[in-house]
Amino acid sequence: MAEKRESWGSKLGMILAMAGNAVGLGNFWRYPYQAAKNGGGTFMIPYFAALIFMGLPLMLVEWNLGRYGGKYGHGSLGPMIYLQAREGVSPKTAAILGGICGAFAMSVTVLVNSYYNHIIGWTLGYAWLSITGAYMDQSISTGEFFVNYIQSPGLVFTFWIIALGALWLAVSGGVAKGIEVMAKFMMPTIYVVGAILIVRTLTLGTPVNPDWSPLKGLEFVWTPRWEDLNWNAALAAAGQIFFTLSIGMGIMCNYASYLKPDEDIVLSGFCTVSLNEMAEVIMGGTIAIPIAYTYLGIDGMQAGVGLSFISLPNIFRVMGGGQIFGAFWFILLAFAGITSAVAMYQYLVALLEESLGMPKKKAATMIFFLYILVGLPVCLEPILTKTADLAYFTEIDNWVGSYLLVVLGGIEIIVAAWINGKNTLEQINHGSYWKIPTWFYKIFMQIICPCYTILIVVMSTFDYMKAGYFKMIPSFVANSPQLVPWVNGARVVMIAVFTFGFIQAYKTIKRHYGVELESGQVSIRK
Amino acid sequence: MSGTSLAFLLITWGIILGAVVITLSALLKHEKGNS
Repeated sequence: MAEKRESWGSKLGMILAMAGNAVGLGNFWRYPYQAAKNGGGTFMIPYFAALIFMGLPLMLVEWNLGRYGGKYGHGSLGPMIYLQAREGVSPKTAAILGGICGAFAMSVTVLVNSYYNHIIGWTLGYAWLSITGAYMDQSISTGEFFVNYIQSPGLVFTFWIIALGALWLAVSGGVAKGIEVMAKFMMPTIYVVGAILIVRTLTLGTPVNPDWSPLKGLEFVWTPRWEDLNWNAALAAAGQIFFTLSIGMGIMCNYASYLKPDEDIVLSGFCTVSLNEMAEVIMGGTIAIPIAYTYLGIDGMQAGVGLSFISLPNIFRVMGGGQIFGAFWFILLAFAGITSAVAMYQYLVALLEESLGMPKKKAATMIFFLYILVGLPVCLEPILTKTADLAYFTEIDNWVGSYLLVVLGGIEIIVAAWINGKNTLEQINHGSYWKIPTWFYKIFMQIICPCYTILIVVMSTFDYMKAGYFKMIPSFVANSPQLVPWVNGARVVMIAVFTFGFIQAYKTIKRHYGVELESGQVSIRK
Repeated sequence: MSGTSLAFLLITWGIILGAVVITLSALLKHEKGNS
């Protein structure tokens, strides 16, 4: 099985695809509003702490899980976790751990993409509307325009299907000829368009208020306010690190499974993180926030999720060349989204190939229809209820798109650093150009990262309890009874996908390593 | 921009850009050496 697996065409293509996996909507859409909402400079302190203490170690762990699993012919997370966990616990316990992680990864790749693909569709739609100047009419507020957009079946469905079609095309082309080729085109384009937008942003001047300028916006982000540090900012920062690096999802592991067994992972992992941070901190932080500050002042920093789709179009309406720069902005978002969504898509295709032996094109087509099925509630809710609360989307994002990532990251680091122990260090350093020193492994990966991740899981749990997310009727729909069925529907879907994911992952492990589960001894090695 | 903010920005950007250049060029160098 291992001999038949695909592999990356070139190192540069692989790095661009890996960076594309990480560089996504999180960098340009989520990061600016998270940073703005959580106090700018106050957010940056826990952000960098989370990057160094959790992000980097987990990135190495996921690359290693993937490359090691790939050697055994696996592209999905369940068997990868099993292979490492069996070194420290009984094969049966390892299989259960693998089943749980496989279920989490399936939940993320199925359900996060159920709304993520829609956001890509919105960005494509808004790119088109920017070119045609559709939202330039100042008689209608951009908030109202956005609500009208998500309640328009024609627009929503058209651009959603286009986004899904682009993903299908890339995945069905294969790892080297589809995903890699796409990354080689889209990633440089993202950096070039990002650079153009930065130059335009920094030359905006003070068109509204002499005290509102791009530099003031940058000052807001880069003034470290130690006295304002708080748990909310720390949790938001940790969540952002997981989302932006695409860790705790299983998709980095899947891409790494296409590496050859002796290929470097340390330098490649660091390179991926660096390219992602360049796109996020330098580009994401120097476009949306300074633009919003220049035109809206400090109030523009409170826009939240609406920063990209509501606040910025307001500005594109009045800035010189707004139509063109609006189109650039939304194309940038779309490309970033596609390069990440394709990794989630690919994970599920690999899973079908691995567990059912299905040909790639057929698997890609099946996932295309699966994404339509799971994405329907996201777009039908605003259309049918004539609301814009996106309760189904919010419920899925709260649990699968945020909480589960940290929990899965926690299990991964415990399996790798504590259960697999020293073997993980040897595996990581095998074939790598840069070697991880033992002291770094012990301090960062065996002590700080697991403890930090467990702390974040515990604090997030308290935070969710306080926010009322555990209630039968969560707080965010308490005053909108018509949305309660959508939230309950989301919960049923999440439980169903998780259960199916567990069974699928456990069965895959049992099919490959049944002998070990029965004997309680590790006997299959490659 | 205040001195502290500017210093925070420049140091962070410098580290990130430096990391991109160092890791990318090292990878490409090794790739060239292997081919």
